[in-house]
Amino acid sequence: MKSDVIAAISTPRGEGGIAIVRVSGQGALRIGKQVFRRARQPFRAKPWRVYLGEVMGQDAEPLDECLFTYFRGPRSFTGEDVVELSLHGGSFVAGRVLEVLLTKGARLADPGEFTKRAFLNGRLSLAQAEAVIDIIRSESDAALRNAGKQLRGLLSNEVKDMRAHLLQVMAHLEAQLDFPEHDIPDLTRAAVATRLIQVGDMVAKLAATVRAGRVAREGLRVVLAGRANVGKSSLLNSLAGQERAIVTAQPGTTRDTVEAQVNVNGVLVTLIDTAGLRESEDMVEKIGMKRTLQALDNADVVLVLLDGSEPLQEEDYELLNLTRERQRVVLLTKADLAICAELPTGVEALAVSAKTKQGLPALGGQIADMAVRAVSGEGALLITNLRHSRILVETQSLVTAALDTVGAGWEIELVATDVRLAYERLGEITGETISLDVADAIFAEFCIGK
Amino acid sequence: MSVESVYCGGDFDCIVVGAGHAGCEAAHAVARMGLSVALLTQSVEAIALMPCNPSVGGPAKGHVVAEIDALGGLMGYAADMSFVQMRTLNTGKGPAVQALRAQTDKRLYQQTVREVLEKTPNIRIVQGSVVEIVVEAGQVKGVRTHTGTLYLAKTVIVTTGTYMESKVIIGSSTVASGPNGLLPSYGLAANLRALGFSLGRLKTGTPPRIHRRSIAFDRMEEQRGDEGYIRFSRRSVRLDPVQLSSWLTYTTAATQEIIRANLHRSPLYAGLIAGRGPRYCPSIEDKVVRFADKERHQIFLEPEGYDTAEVYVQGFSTSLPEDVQVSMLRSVIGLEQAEMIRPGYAIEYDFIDPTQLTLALESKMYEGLFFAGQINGSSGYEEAAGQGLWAGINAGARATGRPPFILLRSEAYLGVLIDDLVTKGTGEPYRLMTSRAEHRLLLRFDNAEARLLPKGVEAGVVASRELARLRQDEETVIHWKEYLEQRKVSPQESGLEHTTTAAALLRRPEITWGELMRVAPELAEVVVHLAQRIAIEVKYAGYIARQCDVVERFQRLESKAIPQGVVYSEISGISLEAREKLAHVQPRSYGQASRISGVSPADIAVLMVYLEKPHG
Repeated sequence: MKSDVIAAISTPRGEGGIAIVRVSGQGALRIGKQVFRRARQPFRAKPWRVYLGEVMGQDAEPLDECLFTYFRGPRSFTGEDVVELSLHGGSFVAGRVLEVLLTKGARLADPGEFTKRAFLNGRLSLAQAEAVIDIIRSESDAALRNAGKQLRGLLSNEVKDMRAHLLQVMAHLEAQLDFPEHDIPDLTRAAVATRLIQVGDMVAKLAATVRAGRVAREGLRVVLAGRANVGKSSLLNSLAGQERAIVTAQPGTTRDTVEAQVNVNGVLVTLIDTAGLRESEDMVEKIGMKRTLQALDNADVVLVLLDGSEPLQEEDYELLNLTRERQRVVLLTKADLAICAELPTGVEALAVSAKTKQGLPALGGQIADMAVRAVSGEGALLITNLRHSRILVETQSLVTAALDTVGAGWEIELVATDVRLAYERLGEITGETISLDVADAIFAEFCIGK
Repeated sequence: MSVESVYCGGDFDCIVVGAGHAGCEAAHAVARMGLSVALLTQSVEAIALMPCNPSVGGPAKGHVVAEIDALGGLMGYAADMSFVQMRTLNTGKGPAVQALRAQTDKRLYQQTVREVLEKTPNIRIVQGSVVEIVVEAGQVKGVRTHTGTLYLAKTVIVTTGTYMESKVIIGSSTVASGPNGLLPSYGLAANLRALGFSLGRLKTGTPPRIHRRSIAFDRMEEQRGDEGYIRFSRRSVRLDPVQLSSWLTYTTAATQEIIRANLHRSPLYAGLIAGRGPRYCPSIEDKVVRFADKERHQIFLEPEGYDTAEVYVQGFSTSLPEDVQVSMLRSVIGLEQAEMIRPGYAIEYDFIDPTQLTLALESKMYEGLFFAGQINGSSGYEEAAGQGLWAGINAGARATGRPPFILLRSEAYLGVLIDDLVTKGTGEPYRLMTSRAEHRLLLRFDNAEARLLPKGVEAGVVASRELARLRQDEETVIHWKEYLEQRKVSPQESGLEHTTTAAALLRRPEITWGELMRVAPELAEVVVHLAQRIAIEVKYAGYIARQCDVVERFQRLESKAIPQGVVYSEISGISLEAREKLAHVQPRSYGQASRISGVSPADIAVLMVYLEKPHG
């Protein structure tokens, strides 16, 4: 395929050991060579070799030491000629080099354009491209392992297996409909139902890993809930600070929540503080309550914070009541002060103090346990992709609909039609059923340089 | 030979080559559009001949007949006027797979069609064998017959059926012959090749016919026609005929033994036949070999007409030697004394690869040149007739400068049929089945007129006065549907605990229209021909709505256009085979592209990403 030359910095922004500028397309070698100078001239770049030299700026002044690698198409990531310039870390030098490349005839790559070209040139399948996103994004061992499984085709195999079952049912039913005078043995309703239940179970089992898959990819969501001034922010800070591997600490998506991500035993944990939720006045009180409920809904684990230094208040009881059915840890904060709170019977609590660190190691251990349990799941494969999980949930309801059709005694034509719908929908995961949004959805998730 | 020095038989808007089921529908459609047409046939006796089974309709096929009828075609009318038995198959299996099937009197059928054609002013029936398609600068000009006569026309529709270079094979005997001992068509195949068409070879077959008096009917199961039968066409007028029965019997272990012992004498297994046969209509020897563990196979004995003793042995198609055929027949329960009138045979013939045609069934190479029927690789009278009608309308459109007439897969079985053929091509005689239609719940027998009649009027093949009748029907349907929703049914009437509506009652799977009528006797007022549609549209409303969602998804793929002139060869992410196929078919939409065989969904994904690239 004829294509123009694209260039981009392929390593993350910010400080780092090295920065790589990637150039791809017909003419990548010519453009790459214009910014590179080797001690010994002339420079004949053999493919798949690494050369040490200097990278030069706009006025041919040396900018940095540089490793030059040429991958000749089609044996390269994109399937085109690719040049990679490895520089000393830091985005400043890389940025300068990129600017020079752009003046020499390269164009700044679009988000995901390298991967897209790899895909267009047959170097990656759609499913693999999807897995590549997951690998790039994975921030924990669990997520990485799972993306690897997907890249190797585990998910495709499982989907194909389920579809084969559905196809068998369809073939039998359709034969009865199209060849009414060919004494084809009827597939009984009971037999159809048995097969459908079997497939339904398979789909359900896979769909059930969605939560574990999300935990693997986005982390275990731990929500800190409690009255104002109960000590949520201090606890969050101590928990985050206690772990060395802070990934990010930034204001959350809404103004009212603060999130921190920590890596606990190879599993990502997102701590979410609902700070400020109940600090507004009268009317807003209700809205605040609504937000708390929302935050709780999205939580994998709730830390219920009660101020240990004073008697429990009405709101505390309400919160305990709200979280009764949830996976939670009840904490009595400010354990460095005298404990005055009296817990309702049946509620156990851990006394913690952000000041003295009392109880924090034990809490950390409990969270870690829950995190590991959440991703270990039942199956070998976890569903981490939103698109996949949506399709599985839809398939599940289509299989249920088919079972209802069988059970209610509707004619086999309608059963066959329902089964076909489930079969088609399931195929969207592997791309066996074509849907217009697949390609768009996948490449929209990439960022520049990938 | 220059055009001026030869005898010219006339100048027409359209010439139809062949007067089988495709050719007759084609000629009639062109004539209905007010255009002049010459119908050329090798034998006037063979017009609308049924050389195989004496029946019309069945699942999917019956639906096509209803669609042909809605578009003003002949087949439904002719079947109504010539049936000896009418039955609805698949009752109780679902609303959209119920299928009308007529056993016909073959001669009466032919006579009916021939009469209609002869009485149509714009049609000129001519006996002659076409050996050459005359073209000039990528444009069809006419045809030449074996006697050298030239016929000129704006458009030509080729419908040679199974006659082109055909051979009939029985055992070790191979004879150049068309079906039923008719002349094959020579020369045209070579001419088409010279014009650049790619041709292939297919095979089909027919069973033996036996004498009625040699059958022990008392040892068989009688199959009668329906008493309150329905018809294919609203245009047919015929007093209720006496219906003839068919008979069901079975092969025996002896049949299997005879076949196995004589397999080496089968031309199929001896390698005498090069063409591929139809999987969905296998010969009896094929069935015995492929389903070795099946102890017996069903055989239906079907009368060939009122005034003939010949009986068709359905399910017994064979090309084994004559002596084997006789012993095989006599091993069937009740056929111990069978008197064979005609032996079964296999027939091999040339067809053109239909992917060389557009969705209008027009050649991609020559403007005005159309192909329809078995020459396109299909099998069955109904599939042929449907293509003939389609090609006829499109030839008429071409001759008058109208846009092509194309129905989508979600609109008609005809759309499924044509799209399958020209998009996927075929390696065996193609048979239409309800399972090929993704949206069959919407493509029902009962709503064929509602779906297609307005399109027929628009295309000029249906008189516009018929629209008034349709509008009246639609009002009646709406009226009764509303009535059913509002009609209260008391617990006394229904035997249920609560008061409900007639519609809600009908939506219970176990309640049929007939049963509802017992609860609400006033429903007897609903005219018979609309009752089925009203009942289905109310009873299955939920399922129909769901199917409409699917159609919407489908339409999105169909309406997402692929620009013409894509250089497929440069998209290296697409497999080599798929690149070639895409370049050959030049699909108009992603939907069509996705149905090309050899083009995988992964290829389509690459194509989508390639075409939506922001920097072009």
